[in-house]
Amino acid sequence: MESGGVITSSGAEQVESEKRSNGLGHDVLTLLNRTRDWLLIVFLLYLLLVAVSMIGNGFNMAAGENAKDLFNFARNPITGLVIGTVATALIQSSSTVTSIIVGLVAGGLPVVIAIPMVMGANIGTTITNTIVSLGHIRKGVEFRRAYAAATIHDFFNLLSVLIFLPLEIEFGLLDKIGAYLSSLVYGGNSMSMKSFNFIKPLIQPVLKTIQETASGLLPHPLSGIVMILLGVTTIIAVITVIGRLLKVLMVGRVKKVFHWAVGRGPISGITSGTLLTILVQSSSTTTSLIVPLAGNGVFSLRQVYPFTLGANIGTCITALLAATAITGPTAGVALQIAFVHLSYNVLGVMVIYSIPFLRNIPLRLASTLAKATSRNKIYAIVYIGIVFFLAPAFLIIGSNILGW
Amino acid sequence: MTDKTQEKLEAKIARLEQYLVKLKAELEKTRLQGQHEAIDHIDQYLHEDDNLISDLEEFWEGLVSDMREFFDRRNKRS
Repeated sequence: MESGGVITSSGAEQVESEKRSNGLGHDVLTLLNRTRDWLLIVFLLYLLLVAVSMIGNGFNMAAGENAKDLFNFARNPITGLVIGTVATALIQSSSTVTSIIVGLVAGGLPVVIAIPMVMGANIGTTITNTIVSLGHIRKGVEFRRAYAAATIHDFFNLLSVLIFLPLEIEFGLLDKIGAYLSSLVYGGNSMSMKSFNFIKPLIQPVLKTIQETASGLLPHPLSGIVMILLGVTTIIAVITVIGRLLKVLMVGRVKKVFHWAVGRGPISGITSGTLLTILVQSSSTTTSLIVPLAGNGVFSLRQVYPFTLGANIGTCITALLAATAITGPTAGVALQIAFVHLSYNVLGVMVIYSIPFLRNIPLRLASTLAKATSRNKIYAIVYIGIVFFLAPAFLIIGSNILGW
Repeated sequence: MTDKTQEKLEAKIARLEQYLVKLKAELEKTRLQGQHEAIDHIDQYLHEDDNLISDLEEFWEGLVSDMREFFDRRNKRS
């Protein structure tokens, strides 16, 4: 009995020790996987910076001083707005489109033409969570709540354009704010970014190699065009992969941020929406997360509203990061457009959310549209048709007649 | 109404108001608890934006069925 007892005891110890070593093995494997994923993200961010520079350099190679003339077709601000909206709706990522815009500005796209495109990127990104909400279509009340939570973002962004685009056309408001903020960084004083830009030595060797290879293999201006296309494709791929990796890596932190914000009011909602979007590098992911939470009734429309606004601010980090990749004479304007994106979104939240009358417009419109659409789905088609097709077409024709 | 009845009613209202405050606090607590529980299960919604095609298909089916219903009703009327 005694020896049996000893055997049983040592057997249990062995099982326990195996369990412990298995657990330890699992932990080590998880740590290794996470380290690999983080290293991959760092590499992808590096690729993003190279890709943004490739677009700028590609335009310089292909068009040189004439790059500005290439964008004359988008001189009408409504055309720029529609380009930004459609491009973002197709690529399903405002971060990608704004990063491409940063590259284009570095390549010669005038900031005044790029500003409506950035505004359009805000509108285009809302289509993702609207589609997510359409997935709840068979669930009656749940659909109504989910659809309202999705379209509140649309209405907010449309209202923001209605307020700030005329101000931009008339007074160049955002252009001036962006230029001022950029001058603080790239100004003439000794503390400017010029003196400690550590990005340049990191990306220049790779960029130079790509540029020389393209110029060696392809004739002018094809080499430049290939550089632009390669840059755009790389940005799309990189931001997609980064988004997927971050979703898995950041899930714990996303929960922490959400838990922190619950029951604390709208300012915390906006802050947490911003933080969540920075963590997952995608405003669509943040707003799409909110849709089912609102759909099942756990969060009210009023509670999810600030989160979606925070997503608008958080998404600006990618363009700011992309702008750090640009060096040389266009570095200032690249940073300017990134700051325009940030200031537009921050001002939008400050102006619309702080004035009760304006704040309630997206709430009322989203609730009304959701009620109508839950009764008849045709309203969803009518809404998309008006906002994304009829209104832009009408505005482009109208603004051309007015000679904008 | 006598002073005593009035006092009694006022006391009753005060009690009810206290009870209402307590109920509201309880409701808020339950609501917050529900929100925290939903956040704990947020993983299941993390890939919502990866299934856009199936969301659109679902919507399309709903739209077609609504349209069919609409035209059926119209045909019946005419």
